[in-house]
Amino acid sequence: MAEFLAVIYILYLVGMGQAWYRFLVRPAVWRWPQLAWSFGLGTILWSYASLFLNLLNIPTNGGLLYVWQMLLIVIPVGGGMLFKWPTQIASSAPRTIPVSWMKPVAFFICGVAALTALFQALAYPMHLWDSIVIYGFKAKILFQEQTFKTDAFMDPSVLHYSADYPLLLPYVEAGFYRWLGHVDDRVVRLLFLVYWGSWLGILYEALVERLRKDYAWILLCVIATLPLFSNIYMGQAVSGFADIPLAFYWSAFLLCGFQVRRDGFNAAWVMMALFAFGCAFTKNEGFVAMVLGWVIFIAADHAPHRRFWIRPVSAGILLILPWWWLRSVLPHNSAHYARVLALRPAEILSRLRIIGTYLASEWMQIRSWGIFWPLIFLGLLWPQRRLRFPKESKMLLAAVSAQLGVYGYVYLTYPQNLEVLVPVTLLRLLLHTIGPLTLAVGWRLEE
Amino acid sequence: MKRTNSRLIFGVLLGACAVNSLFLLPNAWKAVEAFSDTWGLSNFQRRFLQRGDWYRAVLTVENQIPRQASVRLVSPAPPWYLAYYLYPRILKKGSENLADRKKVREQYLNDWVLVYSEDTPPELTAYPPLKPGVP
Repeated sequence: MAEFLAVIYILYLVGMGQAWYRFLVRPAVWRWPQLAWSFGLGTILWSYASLFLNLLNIPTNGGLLYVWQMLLIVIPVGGGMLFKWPTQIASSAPRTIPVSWMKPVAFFICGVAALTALFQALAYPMHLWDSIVIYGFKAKILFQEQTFKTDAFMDPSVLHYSADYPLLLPYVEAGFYRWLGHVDDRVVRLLFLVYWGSWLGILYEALVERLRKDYAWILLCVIATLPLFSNIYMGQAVSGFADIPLAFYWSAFLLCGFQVRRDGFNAAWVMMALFAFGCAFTKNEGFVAMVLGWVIFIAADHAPHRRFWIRPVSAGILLILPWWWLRSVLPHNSAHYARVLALRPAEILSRLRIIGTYLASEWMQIRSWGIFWPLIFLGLLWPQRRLRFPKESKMLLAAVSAQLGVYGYVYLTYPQNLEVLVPVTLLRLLLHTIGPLTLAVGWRLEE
Repeated sequence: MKRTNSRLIFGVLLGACAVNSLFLLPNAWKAVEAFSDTWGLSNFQRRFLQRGDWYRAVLTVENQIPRQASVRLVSPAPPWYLAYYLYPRILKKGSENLADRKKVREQYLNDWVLVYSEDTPPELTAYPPLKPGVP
């Protein structure tokens, strides 16, 4: 029964997201990756609505929850009927190159990976640190109290690790618990399976718009079968950690950015703002990634085109402000980012050596990454006279470099034992870069 | 521009898939086994299988302390999962010193006091509030 209700809840999120997608993007044709975009929009909008209702002290108990949830569908449907905006021109013509045997093979390979994640999700409840202590605990409180305005969040004497961590996942999980009527930290893992699938879906769409379909399929297979997604560890597709949801929102944010870059005011800039909010409301790293993303997009555009960024950036800031205000109110750990000023050069060098050693070792972890990293380096270093290096790939590379630079800075200023922190976090931080790096290298195969 | 041979690219990517499969397939098999082994079990039973005795300790505490209770923790190294599993019992900081249990009980008259230690001998004791309902 819980599994059935989880599917219904996921269908609700996808359906609501689809209504908003049709309202915001006005696609000329329907393609299946829209379901992935819809799931992303559905989760972001539901968590945003929950935050908004809580901030304004609007009750969500009993049947009221379903009223607010229905409103989230009625608004875009009604809006679409009232405002007859022109539909978008189909972004790319259907591919004429035959796909041959690759499509069924890819379906089989991706199917095995997906079934593995499904069985893992349904076998055992979430049990690792972030999944229960950071996000699961918040989800339990939000389900029980229907608000964050409670001692469990606000009282600093309560044992609540990182009470000021972003709330997107806890709201989405709590929404499922409300449908179910009780906490089920096993079946809730299905949400993460859909996150993972949706992320792969938008990556496939971004690849197939530029590449031969068989290249797109095989690249999708390489990503879907990466060992870290099936290992029982923090990088697992259904671990319950926020890293795959963040990887999804971050990739979606970047893809929306390329649309704004291409289509200007005609692009679905509201969607970009929503995915920016999704990044910032999922993990603290997401906020940093989003800011770096904006800077790179604006810096890479020609001066006359920079005005196109005013709308998405303003809308993104407006969406994020309530969360930033709330974050300042919640009990939080003291930031240590200015500490680097007090570090001696010898200590900085010693820490850089530790970070570099672990990074190199992680890149060679065949048990987690297969040959992903050698492939990425090969793809990036392949001579330009043989494979073109499009500007979009360079921008993605800049985004990843800046992201890694910030992560390195956080490591550098970490006040406790770095050799304890790095091994348990590095894999997850690198996971955020899989999407942009795959696209950066994959787009080089465009003919 | 001289293009790179598409067969070479395809071969390399298929090779990457093959390497990944070396790890995916055993994991897939383990997942099927775990799924079939746990078929029909409740989440409580699954946690026993997953974590063993520590979850038994959690259940012991759950059976003693009523839901919604405020609990002061006296523990030198509190286990990270306790707050999650004991919720809606609200776990609050008490003391890191096991000898402070009496002091903590007297200081927080309304609160339960939970003493947790993994030292020898290990201890898990829940003390009811001294004066429940007194502000």
